[in-house]
Amino acid sequence: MATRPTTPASPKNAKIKSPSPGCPVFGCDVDSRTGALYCQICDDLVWDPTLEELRVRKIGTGTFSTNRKRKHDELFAESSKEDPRIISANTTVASCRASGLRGIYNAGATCYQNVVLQSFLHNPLLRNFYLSDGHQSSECSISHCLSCAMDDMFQDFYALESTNGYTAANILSGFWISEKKAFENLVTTKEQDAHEFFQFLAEELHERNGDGKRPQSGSEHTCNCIIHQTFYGKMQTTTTCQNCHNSTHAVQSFLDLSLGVDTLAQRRAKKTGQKLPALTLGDCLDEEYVKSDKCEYRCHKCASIQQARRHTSIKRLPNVLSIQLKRFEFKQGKHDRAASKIDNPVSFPLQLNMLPYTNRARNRDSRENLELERSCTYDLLSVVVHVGEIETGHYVSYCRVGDQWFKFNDHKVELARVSDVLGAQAYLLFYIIRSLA
Amino acid sequence: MNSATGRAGIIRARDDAGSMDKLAHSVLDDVLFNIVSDLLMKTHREEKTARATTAAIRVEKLASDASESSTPDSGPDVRIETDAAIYEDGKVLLKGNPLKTTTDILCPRCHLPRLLYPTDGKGARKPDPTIVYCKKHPFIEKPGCDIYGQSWVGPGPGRGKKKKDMDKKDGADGTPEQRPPNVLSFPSATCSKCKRCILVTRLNNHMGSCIGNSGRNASRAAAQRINGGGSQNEPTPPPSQKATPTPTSRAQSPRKRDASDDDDDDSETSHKKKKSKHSQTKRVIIKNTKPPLKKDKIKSSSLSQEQKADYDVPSPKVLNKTKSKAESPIKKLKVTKPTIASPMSKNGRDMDGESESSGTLSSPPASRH
Repeated sequence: MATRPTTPASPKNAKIKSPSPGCPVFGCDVDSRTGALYCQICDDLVWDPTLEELRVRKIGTGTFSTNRKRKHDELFAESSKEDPRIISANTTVASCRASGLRGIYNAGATCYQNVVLQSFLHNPLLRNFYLSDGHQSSECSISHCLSCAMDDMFQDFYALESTNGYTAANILSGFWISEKKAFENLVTTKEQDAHEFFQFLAEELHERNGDGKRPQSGSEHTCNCIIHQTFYGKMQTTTTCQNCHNSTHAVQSFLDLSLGVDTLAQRRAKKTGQKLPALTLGDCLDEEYVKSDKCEYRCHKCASIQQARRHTSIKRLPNVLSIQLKRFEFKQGKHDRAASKIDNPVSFPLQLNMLPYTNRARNRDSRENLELERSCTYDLLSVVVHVGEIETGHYVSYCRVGDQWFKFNDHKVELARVSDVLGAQAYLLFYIIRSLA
Repeated sequence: MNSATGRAGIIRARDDAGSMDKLAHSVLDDVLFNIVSDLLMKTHREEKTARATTAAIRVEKLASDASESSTPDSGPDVRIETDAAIYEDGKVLLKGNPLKTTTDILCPRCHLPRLLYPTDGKGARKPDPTIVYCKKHPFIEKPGCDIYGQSWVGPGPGRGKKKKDMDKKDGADGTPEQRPPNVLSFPSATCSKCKRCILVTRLNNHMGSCIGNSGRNASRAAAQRINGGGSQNEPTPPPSQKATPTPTSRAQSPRKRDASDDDDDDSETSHKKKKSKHSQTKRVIIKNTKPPLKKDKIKSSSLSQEQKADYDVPSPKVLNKTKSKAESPIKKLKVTKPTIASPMSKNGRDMDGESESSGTLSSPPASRH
């Protein structure tokens, strides 16, 4: 051990000595990274529940702090207040077979809907909302309510033993009957954009569960509905006049982050000479939320049109961050504009730190930063992938359940490896916040 | 600083390498060691907790069997000892290492043995036909099949079915042995508007023509209006176009498509109905039904920890009043567990909650490095 160099990556084992020396009552090793306890008497790692709780808390929040501990205890005290007899009298355990892993049948060019529905189904926040009777279809009077259809779907996925595909007939008819002007083009029998369907579904579910107000784009709309609590964040655009250095702020809420791929890819292609240069998600995020751009702007102070710098950053991060990579763009061709697909690979991480893209990134304080960074850490939850050409393509999705990834291709569910997921040509990415605390 | 390798001892620099080289090799070797050790630790933890839970379930079952007289709500007042655990005063104490004392794994929910190997595909083993296993099986990894080992019959000829295809299908329905049980056919669903049964692959097209104003019936109706053909049909304003296809257009079009739709769906209609009835009686409810999201209103990055709990509750429970009246003592025991559990009860009791939650998202972030 002494001859081995110690690097930051080196694992360290701390030895806990028994209280009275020479008496091998409780000799243990603790792994420095995971906090796992190795008992020398058992000659094995032990996972004692009491110590496990401490270990998990330390790793999850980075501290054993009493403040958190109290919260933690209250949390458990509250749940134990619920009488187990009431629970046992009203519930039985769902079959062990009902895992929520089912495909959804393609009802004729509806794979763009299926991928979005699967990502909703495996979103723990939405799942818990619907499974705890957040929207009861038996008490809803709206006919062809999409939220009721979602409720039914969650029940079917998590309560029935069926492993056959699911027929999303109610979702589909709710979709056809819905009269949303903004999404009229979406309602056809043809293949459509999964991102538009995601927006449609989010708005529709917000209207069914929320305050009933239509979310207006560009406004700072806040609502307590499940969709807003899950997906909506806020971003802030700061425009600084180059003449008088007066700056104005505009805040607007967002459902997802749309990241341009095209211009970045073209710039990269010119620079490196590659035909399809590879990008990273970080590149795309830097472009939108770190760099600032120039624009013309009517300054109130100068009372004239001035050059200004505009910088956009995220003011409030959502619990589930949805990111769209703009792979479909209208390009000016020789004769007319035609939709085309950008095939550049964009690599994305399993774990995403969003702190650099928030408006808190600038005021640096290293101690506070560590805490902040922890609260801005996201884990990849699901990926929607578009395969093939723009007209004849197909959508598949990958979702994570626990640590296992699954591939959903309409009615077919398969096991997927992490490398399959990370190698996919992502179109929509859903990241979930690591700790809600 | 002279060692050429790290803790794993796999990536080794040459003996005559410079110190920077050696350092780089040992860093890489340490990183490799960490990856392998994390994987091993995670598997070890899952396996050991599952075995510990199994030992606890076994001994609790014996204890509850031994004292039929006592009320099921309180822990039976007996002392039971197995090879793996001791039951005393309502507590379970493990004896020795559960990895050695317990060889199989019981499902913490249904208390049936878990099937440990997939039944088909990669790593498959034949299950013991005499044992009733828990219904949660290991997922199957086999080309052409899904995780349950299912595959689907081809959706058939793309456009309207031909006579001979229908004959074939009828034959298959008459003698189900011709098709392996895990090969499924596409089901059909009821259109919410016209209540007809439509094969699922045609559902979107059907709704387009039935609810929406696309599809060929709609275009025919439109053409008719333009030509002034349908005498009893006044030119209708757009909203009513969204209604059912007009009777005239139906009468004029030969009903070939509809007929075939109806016919091939008959076989599945009854099944589907049964299924939907089934789904009405059951409701899944998360055990932790306290208002999940009210507390955090607008602050999202600083959410209260309450939410974490909701996040952590993985085991959905099915609401079913009729069933729950016939409670078995085992079920009762399970529910009362959290109340009796004390820090004294070593690895046993609290584990089912934990091992279950590790199946969902709530597994500690540490295991996801």
